[in-house]
Amino acid sequence: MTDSHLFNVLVPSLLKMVVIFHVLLGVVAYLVLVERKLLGRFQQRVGPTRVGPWGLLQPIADGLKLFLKEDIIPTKADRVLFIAAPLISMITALLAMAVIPFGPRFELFGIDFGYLQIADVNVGLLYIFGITSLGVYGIFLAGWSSGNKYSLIGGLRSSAQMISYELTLGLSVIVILMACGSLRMSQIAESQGDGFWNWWIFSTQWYFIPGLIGFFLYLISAFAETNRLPFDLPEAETELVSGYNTEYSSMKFAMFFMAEYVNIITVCSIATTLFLGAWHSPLPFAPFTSVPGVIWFLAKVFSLVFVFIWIRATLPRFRYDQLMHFGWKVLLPLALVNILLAAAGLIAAGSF
Amino acid sequence: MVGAFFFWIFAFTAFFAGVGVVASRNPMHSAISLVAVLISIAGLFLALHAEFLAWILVIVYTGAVMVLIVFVISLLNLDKDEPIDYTAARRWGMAALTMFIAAFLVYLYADPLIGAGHPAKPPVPDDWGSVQTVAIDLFTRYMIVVQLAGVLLTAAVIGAVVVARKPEQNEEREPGA
Repeated sequence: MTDSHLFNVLVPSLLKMVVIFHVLLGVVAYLVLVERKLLGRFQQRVGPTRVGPWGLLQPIADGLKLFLKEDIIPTKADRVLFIAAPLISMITALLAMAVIPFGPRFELFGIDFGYLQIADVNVGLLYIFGITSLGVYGIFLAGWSSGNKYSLIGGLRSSAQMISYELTLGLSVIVILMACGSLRMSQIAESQGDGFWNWWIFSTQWYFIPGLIGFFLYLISAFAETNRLPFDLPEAETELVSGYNTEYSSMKFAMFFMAEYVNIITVCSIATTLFLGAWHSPLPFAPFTSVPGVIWFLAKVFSLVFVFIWIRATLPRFRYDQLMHFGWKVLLPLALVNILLAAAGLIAAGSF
Repeated sequence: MVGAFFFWIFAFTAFFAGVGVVASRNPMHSAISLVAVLISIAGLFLALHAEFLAWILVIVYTGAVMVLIVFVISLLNLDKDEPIDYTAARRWGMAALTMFIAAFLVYLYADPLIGAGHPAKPPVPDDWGSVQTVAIDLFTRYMIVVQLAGVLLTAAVIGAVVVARKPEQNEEREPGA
């Protein structure tokens, strides 16, 4: 590897890393405000308005408040794991963003930056599932190390829930792999150009169905993976105080909070990349194609995030046995049947 | 060179996490150390460009198997510093076994055919360890083994269900008894 080659690889990667990281954290801070505002509207309220115009400075006030709070470690807690748990949550949430392709190839100052993606790994999808499967340790260890039975129950629920729904999550995207033949995120994104009818969710190649079913299976399991309503049993306030994060305060609590929102953005970005045509415009002609790909990508991601908040305001929480029943007896068989459908469709279309 | 750099980092973490598995008094700490070992080994695979194997290792072992182990440990409610009393015979037995495994590893390392003394190995093809090559191997050369493993796992699942089921209570069904 020559010096100039190293330079051409390292500098764009570092730049993209810094930009994506900071934009992401900024977005996360404001996502909390957006969620509170929207929830307010859904519930006939106005949401936060006091700090700054339209409450725009609320995230800064929240951050400052959390930062200045006393950091408490309970005496009965397992110190090492208690401190490690929020770090694991945050790190795994951020790592998963590394392979999301936010935009097409671009050049700056004569340097080829490649896709707007930190690392174009050839097993990108597996990487995401590997990293997100580690995220469960953050929540579980938080619950276990707190030395509090409500936290422990929250942690146990979350690990059971996340393992159960990870299966459906993984199986729901296999149809995309079968059609696309690649695990590389950028290649999956590239395969959906020229109009929304080529997005995998609507793809006519195998008669609509598997892509559409796969998308909804993915979305439902994504709700469970991110511990959002209607699957927020790990932190069911009415039963468990606040679940796994009851004992956490100050920045450690903030880390769990941020990790949750980063995870929401991650699952929405994956859904956008796999099913909704990534950065491609919905219609392949002039006024649409002249909008930069990043804008399309973010528009799709935030539409999905809106759906997440909308669902939160709409649906009540599942009971634990209903959750398990739904995951194992409804979603999982559906996902398996969907794979068979996709295989049949691909053979019928002569793609194999 | 980059590969060697990552090899040493992951070898280092794998080794010390391995020590942590054995030396921790708290079973939860042991389990988490084991998770660290597995992640380090996945890192070693990555340094060898076996991406598929690395991430499958993470997904299956740390994402599923170790989560279950951690789950069980937290439900068993083990005492944190419970001393483990082994008989002298058992201690010596374990020491002997450890020495045997260590000697075996040294032997492997010294063996001219597989170990460090082996002359230059043939270059590894570029797509080695990619999803495609692994899949082709699994579905051609190792087809029967894969199928057998599937049967074995199915049998294990059925066995687990049978063991977990409560015996049926006959008293309620027979009104006269």
